[in-house]
Amino acid sequence: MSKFTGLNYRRPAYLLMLMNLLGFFLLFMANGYNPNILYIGAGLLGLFILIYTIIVLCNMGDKFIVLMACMLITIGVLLLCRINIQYGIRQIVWVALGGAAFFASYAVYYNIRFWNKLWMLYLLGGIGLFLATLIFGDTVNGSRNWISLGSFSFQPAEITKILFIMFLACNFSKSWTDPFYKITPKWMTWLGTYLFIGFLVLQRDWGTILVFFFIYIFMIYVYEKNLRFLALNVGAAAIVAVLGYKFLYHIQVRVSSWLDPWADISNKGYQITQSLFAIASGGYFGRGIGNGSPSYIPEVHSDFIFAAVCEEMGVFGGAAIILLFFLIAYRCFKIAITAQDPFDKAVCLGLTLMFSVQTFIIVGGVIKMIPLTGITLPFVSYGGTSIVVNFISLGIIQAISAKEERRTGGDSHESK
Amino acid sequence: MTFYNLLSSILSYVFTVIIYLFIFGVIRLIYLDVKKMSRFESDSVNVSGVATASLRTLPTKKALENPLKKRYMIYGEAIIGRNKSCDVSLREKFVSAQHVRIWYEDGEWLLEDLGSRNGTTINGQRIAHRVILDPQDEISVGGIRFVFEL
Repeated sequence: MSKFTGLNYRRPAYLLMLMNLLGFFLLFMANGYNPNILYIGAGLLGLFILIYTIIVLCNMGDKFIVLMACMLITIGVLLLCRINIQYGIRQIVWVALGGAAFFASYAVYYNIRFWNKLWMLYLLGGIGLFLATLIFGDTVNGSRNWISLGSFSFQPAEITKILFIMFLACNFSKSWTDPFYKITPKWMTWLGTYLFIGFLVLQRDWGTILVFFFIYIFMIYVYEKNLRFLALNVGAAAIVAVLGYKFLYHIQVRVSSWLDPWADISNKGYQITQSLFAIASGGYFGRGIGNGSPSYIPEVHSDFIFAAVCEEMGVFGGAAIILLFFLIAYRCFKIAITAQDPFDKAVCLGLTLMFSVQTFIIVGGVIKMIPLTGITLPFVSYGGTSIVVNFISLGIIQAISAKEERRTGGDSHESK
Repeated sequence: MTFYNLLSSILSYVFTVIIYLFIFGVIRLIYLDVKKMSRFESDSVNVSGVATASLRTLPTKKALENPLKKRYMIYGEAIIGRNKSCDVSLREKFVSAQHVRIWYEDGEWLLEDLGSRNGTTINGQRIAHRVILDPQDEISVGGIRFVFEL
């Protein structure tokens, strides 16, 4: 146990455990001493301890990112159990699967070194998943983005995000230089991006379109010296957005309920106004878990979980979630900066952008800062595919940081 | 208002405090980590040409056989260990005879573990190779903690 001698690492981990114990004990009382709550809490705590111990003992690189993700999951599962215990039970199964996926993606990404050669595979994989969604998909809430296999259903667009980031990284890391039928990688990437976005338009999955587009734009901003190319892309997107607003009823509804949700409070503006009421009634420290009434908000367990956090844990609780995402993004950016391999750098940057953009879009939507588009808040929202895919992304980032750490000699100090 | 509502309202403050303590703890660890990225300039050479630094002792919970000094000075080079001949002699049984060496070279303070049994950690991380020390690093020699200061 010599690796635990540094007392420093323990304290945040202990606080996480304390948060778990207190939170689930409180819920246990709230739900009429339902023992299922205790099983959920014990299972979650056991999972966290298992994951964190393996990371520390096996020296798997950065030790903070997973710790912060675990804190976010704790807050999420507490709220989900409080909204509906069935969500909590299913979420914990997803977290367990996600933990397994985390270590699997860590091992696979760490040991295979030719990821930067496979751009064709990523592109075809993405297109294949989109086609499968269009053919076999189910329509939920106006978006055709679910595939069901028996009783099991998942969102292929979430998986495509990772493929898309790897695809972009192939180009931006300059590890893909040969033109494809006379089309240079730069324009091939451009084509691929807009092809993906085109498929998403067919699925009417506006939130994911924004995520894809922002990742692409920020990657260009970081890597491309030619600002005209960036301006071209932004300009094209602006034109498309205006056209979309002119001709698509769905987008008009979103924008009008963002500008003035009070005009049609019983129908179009219902969700956003309920969310604002919930946030307002929470105050600074919240009403306490179990005292609020988050079930007035439609879709509170997935898209609107941030409003529930603000109601029951207060503005400070909501700000803490944003702070945690800031810190995760900061750590990931630092890993991207110190990584040596250009492909690793680009992948890490892309995955960080994915977390950040998703958080910005959904938190901004819930607090009525930008028009609302439904996507999940990473690690907090209920959603199987989302949790597993986020854990896979973390596994990749962890593998990149472990590579870097082993290169510099077993610790974060520079060896001579 | 039931007992549960009251308890929940009180615990909402507790939760806020716990989350922010957690965030603070993580930020502190990250701060210690970031310091590694900004190497300090070689301004620790004093007039006499010998670089000096010091180890400030932190309070420890371990039962000690001998009292520790508040501060140990290092002039150019120091070996820390149990032996009386060491520059910094810590006469405790969990400190190896020659435990760790700290020395000044080319504008950097370096630290190297001399194959000790109980190991040396810096800012909570066990070291395997020689490392560059920064001011305010926390060094733990077999469990006795010091702050490295210039």
